[in-house]
Amino acid sequence: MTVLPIVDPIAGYRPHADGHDEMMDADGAIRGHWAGVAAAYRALGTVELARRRDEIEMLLEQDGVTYNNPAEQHRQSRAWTLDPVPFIVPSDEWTVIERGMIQRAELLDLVLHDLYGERRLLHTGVVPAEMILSDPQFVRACDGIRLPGNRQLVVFGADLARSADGRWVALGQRTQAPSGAAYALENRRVMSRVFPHLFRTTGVQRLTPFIHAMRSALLGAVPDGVDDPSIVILSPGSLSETAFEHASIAAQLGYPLVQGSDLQSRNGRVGLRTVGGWVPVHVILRRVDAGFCDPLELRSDSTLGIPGLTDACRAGTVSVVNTLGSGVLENAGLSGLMNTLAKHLLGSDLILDSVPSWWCGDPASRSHVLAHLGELVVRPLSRSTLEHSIDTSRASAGELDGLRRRILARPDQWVGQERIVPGSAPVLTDTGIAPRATVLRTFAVAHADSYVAMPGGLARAGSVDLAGPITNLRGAESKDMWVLTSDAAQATEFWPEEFTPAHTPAIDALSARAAEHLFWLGRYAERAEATVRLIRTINARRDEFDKAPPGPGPASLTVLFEALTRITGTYPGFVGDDAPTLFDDPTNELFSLVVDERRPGTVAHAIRHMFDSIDVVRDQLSIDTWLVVGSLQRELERLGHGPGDGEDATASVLDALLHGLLSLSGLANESMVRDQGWQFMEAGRRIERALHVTVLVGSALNTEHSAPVESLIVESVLTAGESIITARRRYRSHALTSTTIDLLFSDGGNPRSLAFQLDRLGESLALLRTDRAAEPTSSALQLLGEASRLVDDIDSLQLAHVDDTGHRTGLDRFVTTVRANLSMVSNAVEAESFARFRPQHSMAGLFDNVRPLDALHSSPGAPT
Amino acid sequence: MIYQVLHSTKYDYDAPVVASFAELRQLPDDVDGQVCLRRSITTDPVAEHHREHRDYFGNLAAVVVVREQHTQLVVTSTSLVDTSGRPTGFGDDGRRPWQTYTVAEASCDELTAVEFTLDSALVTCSEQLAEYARPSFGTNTSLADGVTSLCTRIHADFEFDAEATEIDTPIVEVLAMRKGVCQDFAHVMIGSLRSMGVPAAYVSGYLETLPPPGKARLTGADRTHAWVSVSLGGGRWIGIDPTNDQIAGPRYVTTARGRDYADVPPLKGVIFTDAETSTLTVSVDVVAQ
Repeated sequence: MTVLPIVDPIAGYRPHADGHDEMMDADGAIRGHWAGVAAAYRALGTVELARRRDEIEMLLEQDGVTYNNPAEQHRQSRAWTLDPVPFIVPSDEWTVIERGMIQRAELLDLVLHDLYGERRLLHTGVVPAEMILSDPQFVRACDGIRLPGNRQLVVFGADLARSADGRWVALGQRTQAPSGAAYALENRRVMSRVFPHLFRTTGVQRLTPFIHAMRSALLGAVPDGVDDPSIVILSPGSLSETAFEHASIAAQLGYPLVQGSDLQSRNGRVGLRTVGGWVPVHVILRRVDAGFCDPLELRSDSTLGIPGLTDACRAGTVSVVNTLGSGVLENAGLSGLMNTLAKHLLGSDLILDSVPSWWCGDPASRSHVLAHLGELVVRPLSRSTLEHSIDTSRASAGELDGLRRRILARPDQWVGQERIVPGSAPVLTDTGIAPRATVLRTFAVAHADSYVAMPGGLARAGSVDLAGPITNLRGAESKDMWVLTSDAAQATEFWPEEFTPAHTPAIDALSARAAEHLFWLGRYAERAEATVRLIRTINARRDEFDKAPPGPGPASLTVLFEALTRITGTYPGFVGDDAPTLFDDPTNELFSLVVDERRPGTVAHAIRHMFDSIDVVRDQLSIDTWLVVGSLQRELERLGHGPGDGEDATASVLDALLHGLLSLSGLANESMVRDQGWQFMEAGRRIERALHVTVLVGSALNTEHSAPVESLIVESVLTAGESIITARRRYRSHALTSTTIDLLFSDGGNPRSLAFQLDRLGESLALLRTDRAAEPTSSALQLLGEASRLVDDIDSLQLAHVDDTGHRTGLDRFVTTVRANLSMVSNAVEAESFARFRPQHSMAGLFDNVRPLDALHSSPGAPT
Repeated sequence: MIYQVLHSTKYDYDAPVVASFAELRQLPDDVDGQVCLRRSITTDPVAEHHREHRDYFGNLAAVVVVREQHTQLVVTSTSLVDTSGRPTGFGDDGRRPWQTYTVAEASCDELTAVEFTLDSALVTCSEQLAEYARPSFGTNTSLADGVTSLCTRIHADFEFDAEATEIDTPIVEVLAMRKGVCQDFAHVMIGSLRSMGVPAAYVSGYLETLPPPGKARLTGADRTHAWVSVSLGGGRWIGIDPTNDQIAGPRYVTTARGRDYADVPPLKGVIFTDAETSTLTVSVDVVAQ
């Protein structure tokens, strides 16, 4: 065994000559605050660092950390990437950043207060009226809305970069619904696990108290007179770019993650539609852009909002955080005014400067910008225009001409900004550690009459090109930000004691939509598992009778193939005109039944739908769920490439899928509280399993075959029904159709039997009913009672009886009745508990006297 | 003159609506010289929630929510308004050269001047509009003469045609077609004034219509109406109606002022339903008392 020499990953580190580098000074020496960490990385060496990077990747995947690309309307989310090298901020430098963040938050809060109040800043011309009035993020409908408490701006984010002279400058601010905090917390969790020793010995300020600060800030926004507030997180849905973050914040804060359609205004108040009825909501932390929050008074084309929300905010019955209209603070023109505003409103200078910028609505600034096209970055005034910043130093002459014309046409819509090449920080690359331009996203939340900043944040490193743009979508890598503790900070623990409020969320009720997804999660998970079992059973028979001459073996296989098509509803399949050809070579059809996710009834289809439901209710599930989801996804992708090395691959993938599905059901049983949500999932699983076993027995055994054939079929049915061991023990080798019916239908002690499913289903539905005054499941229970009576009255000999034509008509009748009844139970649960919402429309305007109503479709309105 | 205004909006649907949310701007206020003596809004079915507030532009707005399942919704507003104080002409206002009323001349505390000169959702300034306006605004023309001339020209140049436009027809198209309804004429005039730098607002309200000589007044034959309001500085405005080429005097009732129609529709709303069509019937009566 050869021991690889340890290669120094920093040996080739050469920062750009004219920028600031975090780790190395201009003389090529490691900076003081980097000494310990740099030495540790040298000792680890490149090979070990690469291994740690893989470990990080694995941990992130296990936690399901993703960043969706909004351009791809599909679940295929991209994995979040985290560099193994932290971004280190020494404590004295952090003190400045922290004070600067708090000052900016305080300043912007005053501006926000004024813009939706007296507008003195506009009246006196301190802020040019046109700059604000022509910004689409200035939402006139939100005029006069006031949050209780001291602050209008509750959550604040800033993008910081280090300029060439080593000073920190603010590139911009996030005030709509700042994202990134949950990613920062996740990065920290992973880094402290992958580098436990280094992390412990370095002395890094903790991030977790930020969650307490956030909770306390939300409690600070509770409307007056509410003693037992309920707080929710409003998300645009699981397809949004930062869906992971929404679910993660919700789970960490312990508040329900909801969508617009979960909320409903009643009597001028906003509440959550739960399975037990409507319960009031007092604070909404929104991750939806303001314009999308209320189709009545804001964007009428939004289906992400709650009609009447603005009205409720105005009346003060609910507080939206950040307040509706806060996005106006992201106005690019304000950057150039921050110093003036600081002097005017706070009587002091800015601690953290803004990038120098010029609003083109002002003639002198416009001339400056036009004269310096080719050097400046030109930004649209408002982020809502979805236009990107333009680095004019990289624009062609033609592009510059076009831009000049656009600026002259609407000068008030453009802002010129000095081009900052952010300082570099060390990043692990394939060839060792190298310098990459890096920017920081930092956060602050309102606290008492000021703010507290998160001692850390999200660092993002650019690609090779130092001056290129850094955004999440362009392959940037995130870094954990380590703020070092000072001796002083260690002595007086930074976070005050009061950040441990024992507030338990008032809403334990389950939103109707979450209940619905949990129900279907149960159904799809069970459907996938049952289908996998059946296909495995069939494959085992095929291995046994491959190339066998006609006889009982192949004859029993034919029956099983037909049953498979009937159970999965994948017609025509093995019962269509092509059936004889498929019997000869069923490989492709079986393969399709596993992997074809677009074909309803297949394993992949069920798993895909199960994933969709998991995405929606991810805040309710154990974090280990992602471990299983990740591996299931990998198995499906592995198979998706085609039969490839044939049936061996299919067989091993089926085993792996079954393994994953069993893990999921294990997690559901061992890691989930038996609350309403669990009961709905359980109900879904029981209904599905009951349907499956009923149809399996009904379609495989409804016709009489010769004794050898029938014996083989019975054995397969018992195997697929996971009851073969019991059958062998109980009946030796004499399992017959009637004993199979006993075991799979009426044996209440067999966890795979129909009777057992109905008992459990009844328990779940009954628990849901007694949970609230409302009776969400009463007619489902009634229907279920009928099915249970049928099962109680089963006479297996009678059901197994064969009539003159060779059919078991009694069995057929029973199966048809139970199947219809189970469908009705499922429909009743849906109708009673999930209160389907009708499509949303705009009221016709004056000009269209008669017109067709077109339902509005959802549009992702996720802020970043 | 004292008018009783009765404004009824009826929606019929082909399937039940489970909830209707509406925001209404059809409540007259004490503005433009008029005095509102009485006002109320009712709905059938009865609203679960009804709240009034003053919006960003100072208008009275009401939010109503009907949660009783319905296939027909009727929203009725009634008011009693004394309009005798409404102006009948420019009077002493608007006598200075028009240029002194533009946003460029306004001091920076004239937030209103900026607000009503910027582009809005349905009115975008353009060179074509400025070109159309220019013949009315000579170098020494007073604001009053310029505005009156522009109003008269729009009245003469444009044909009233209820079929020609939709609510979102761009005003450059209206300008090219020279056809439209009161909203279009108001938007064209507002755009022309703003393109010259003169602050102008959109006013929504009612106008008493007189039956043809010798005919009886038809119930419900009046309409919601729209005209233009021109800023005279110092918070004073004058209403002028390009559809009828006259000052919005005592036969007019103001309900709301905004940058354009999109700011102040008499009714907008959101409904939840499986219905596929809706039929709208509006009836307005402006009856002199």
